[in-house]
Amino acid sequence: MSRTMAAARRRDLTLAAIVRWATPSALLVLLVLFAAASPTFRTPGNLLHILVNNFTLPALVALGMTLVVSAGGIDLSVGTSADIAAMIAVTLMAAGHGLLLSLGAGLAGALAVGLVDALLISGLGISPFLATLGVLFVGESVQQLATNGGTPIYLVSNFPSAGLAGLAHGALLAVPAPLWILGAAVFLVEVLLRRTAFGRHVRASGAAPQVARYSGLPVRRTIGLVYILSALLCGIAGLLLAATVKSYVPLSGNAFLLDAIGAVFVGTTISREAKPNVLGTLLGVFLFGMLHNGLLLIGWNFYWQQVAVGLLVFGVLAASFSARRLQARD
Amino acid sequence: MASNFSYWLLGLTLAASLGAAERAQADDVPSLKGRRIGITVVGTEHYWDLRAYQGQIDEVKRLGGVAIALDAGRNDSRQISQIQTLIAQKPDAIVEQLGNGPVLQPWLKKIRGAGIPLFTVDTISPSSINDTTSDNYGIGEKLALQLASDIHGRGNILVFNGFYSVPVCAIRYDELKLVLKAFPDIHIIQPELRDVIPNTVQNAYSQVTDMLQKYPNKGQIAAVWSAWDVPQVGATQAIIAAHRPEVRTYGVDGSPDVVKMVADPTSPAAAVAAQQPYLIGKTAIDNVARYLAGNHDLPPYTFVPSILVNKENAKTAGSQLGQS
Repeated sequence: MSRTMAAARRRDLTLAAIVRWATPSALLVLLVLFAAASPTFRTPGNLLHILVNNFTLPALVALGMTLVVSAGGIDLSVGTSADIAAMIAVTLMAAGHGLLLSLGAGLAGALAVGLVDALLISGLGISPFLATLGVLFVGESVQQLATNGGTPIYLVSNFPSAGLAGLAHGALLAVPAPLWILGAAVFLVEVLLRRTAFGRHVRASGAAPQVARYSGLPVRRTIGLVYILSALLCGIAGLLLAATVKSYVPLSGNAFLLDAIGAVFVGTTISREAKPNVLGTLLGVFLFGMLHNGLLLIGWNFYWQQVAVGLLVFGVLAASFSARRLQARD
Repeated sequence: MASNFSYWLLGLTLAASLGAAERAQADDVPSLKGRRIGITVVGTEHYWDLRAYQGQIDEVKRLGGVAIALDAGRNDSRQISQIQTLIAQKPDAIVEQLGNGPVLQPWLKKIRGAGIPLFTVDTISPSSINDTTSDNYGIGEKLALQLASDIHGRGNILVFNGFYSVPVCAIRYDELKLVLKAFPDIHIIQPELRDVIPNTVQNAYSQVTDMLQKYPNKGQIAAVWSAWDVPQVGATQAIIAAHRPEVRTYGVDGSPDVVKMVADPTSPAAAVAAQQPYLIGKTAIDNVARYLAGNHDLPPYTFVPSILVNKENAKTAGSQLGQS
């Protein structure tokens, strides 16, 4: 009898390990494979490049999405927040305004997007999918109207501010500035979610909103704040994007939407409760960024790169969720 | 000195011929009063798209017609839906600008099937009465020859080839390959890179940085080529950030900021084939007006001149192109 129980326990532990280690294992295996296949991949310069250019921007957007999904929502307007921030900041700088004013106004623009989301979802009770989809459409039109149909604004030939370049290409204590900014954002979101009453309210609102409401938790305020925070994080990503390429190209932020959603859900696999979490999201974003870099360096055709990314996501989620289902059956 | 003089002469000749072509077109264009002209464009988020689109709308208005202008927001299925809407409205003519060739062809055929005259801008189609475009064969050839000449006929080049399904990009790419047959020491690094929409600039920046990491030594990459100039902006900045100024960049379209980049002697942006998108759009509408006035003998293609902007002529080319 006890032998049967021990075997069942071992099986449970194995399944739990499969569930939680699917994403980190995939990451580790790919790291080793790419390092073996491409000498360039394992150079410190390339790993730093992945972190700065392939990881930081989508990670900031995905952090916002982590907050939103933790609260039981979805934010399709993440790209809009990023783009509006970049558009305002770059337009002001192109007109000769100072760096701080331009960046502040850009963040205020992102904040406005978050406030609209919050108003529609918490105030009017519109479903997050529809509300943020509407904001996405309106945001696209606003950008096209503001840029005479969608003309990019380049600061390439008359770059007005060394400070903006420092934001993207500067370093402090030999660590690139974008990584400091991301580090601060990660710390803030992790502390908010794990160490504060607000974080508990977010998780409670996401897990069982009715119960949270009946328990007297400020569910509407919490959800509204989550969309505002998400928009601010995306606004920071938009400013970094503009600083990196010294330009604002309308609708660029939309490129981060699907990766952010994918990273958050891949990240849920490392959580015991299959919930969004900061570490999991960061692993998911890094997995995508590393895949794009590694496959390009080993010489894969772009279209096969896309297939590989899709298959990897399927693989990780299939391993994790199949094991989880087996656990539940037991 | 002789070289400078010949560039000036070439510039003056081009300017004169462009001006003459524009005046000739403006003088004899029939009115579009009472006519409704449908305009469908795949997107307007790029300088070229927007200027060609504006050129069409402005010219329809100038000639007294009404423009029914629809922008598909770089979405093929939305453009097809908008074409269906236009067919249902039965305008006097439809002008289609750019878009995904294989996807569009059956729908362009349906426009003709509905008895509506079809004109295209930068889209080659057997259904089109007239396609107004730059000479993309010439553009592709001249840009490739400039690249080959600049790198002295040898070296490895990175190529962005993400939009081969867009006919004009395919022509430019094919011309590059044709020219490179004559330069066996120039090799395209495999895999080719893929330019994307949206986030074209940052994506190009990231991919070129990847490749500069892979080929870290001077001389391993000689140039970066793209079929339009937005990836060129990202590529140029990646090269600057990586401190690899020996790598040159080449593109097509000639947005004002890219022309300025080429004019900067320290910039890796070496050349851009600058088109005249506003004039292309205007010329397409002039052809529509002539056709509707009874001239059914239009040529299948109207080529609007372009200028290859390089380090030597960049400072004067901006004014020739009407850029401030």
